[in-house]
Amino acid sequence: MRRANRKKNRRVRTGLLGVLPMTSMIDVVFLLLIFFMVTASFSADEDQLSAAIGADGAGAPSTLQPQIVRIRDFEGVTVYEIGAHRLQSTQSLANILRALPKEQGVVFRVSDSVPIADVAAAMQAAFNAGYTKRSYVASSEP
Amino acid sequence: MLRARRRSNPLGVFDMTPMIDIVFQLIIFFMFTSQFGQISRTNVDLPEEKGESGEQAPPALVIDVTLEGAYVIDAKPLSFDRVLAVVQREIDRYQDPSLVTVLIRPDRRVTAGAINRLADEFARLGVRRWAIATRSEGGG
Repeated sequence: MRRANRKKNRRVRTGLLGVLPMTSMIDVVFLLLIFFMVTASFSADEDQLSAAIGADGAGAPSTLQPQIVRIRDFEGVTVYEIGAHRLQSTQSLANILRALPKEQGVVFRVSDSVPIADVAAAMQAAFNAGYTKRSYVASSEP
Repeated sequence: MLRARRRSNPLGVFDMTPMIDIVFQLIIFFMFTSQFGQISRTNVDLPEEKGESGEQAPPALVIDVTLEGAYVIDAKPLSFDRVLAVVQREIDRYQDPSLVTVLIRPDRRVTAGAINRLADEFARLGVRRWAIATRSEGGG
């Protein structure tokens, strides 16, 4: 009788560690999974294009001045003017910028009527062409 | 004798469940609060550009510009004067306008006039560091 009791007690004692309740932990882990799935749809991947802000009147033509890109609306189409060139694509702008000296940077003179997507495209073209100094100037030109 | 041995083994029955529950609740709380910065941004259709690769310093101020040209800070639409007041507050906090970085999140269809208005005032206030937020093509 005593031996049987001892055996039973040993079983109870050794079984205590085996019944660690996992249910609540699994519940919380699933809640975490749900949380991550929900928040993943909230935050889309964003990046940024930086530029220093320059005062109007910056960038008068001179050999020591940065490259000046005028972004304006011409008959309903956004054009990028650099020197004597008037371009409609940022690819052409990037090609020209790549060939010019980059040390002095580039200044964007942006007219009010241009969609911001076209401005961002020009800034991206300058970044891709290797310009580290980029300035943005609000232009009062049409 | 047996009863005494059972009582002297309390470590075997130490219940970890409430502690684990609380730890997970804390993790959830911190994750939620860290996400608020993202959620409080207005859902604007950003320009689709790759942007600059690499880590950027977190901006002092994020200004959303909607398609209608309205300025939104922390999901609250503000008048232009109120926006300038917020920028001035940031300048006062940093005590140097050149240290204030502003991130503009414009709708890609908005015209540059809304941004130029800000740029003119930033130049006047001495804020020179700013960036335009972009969205990777095909992303989000």
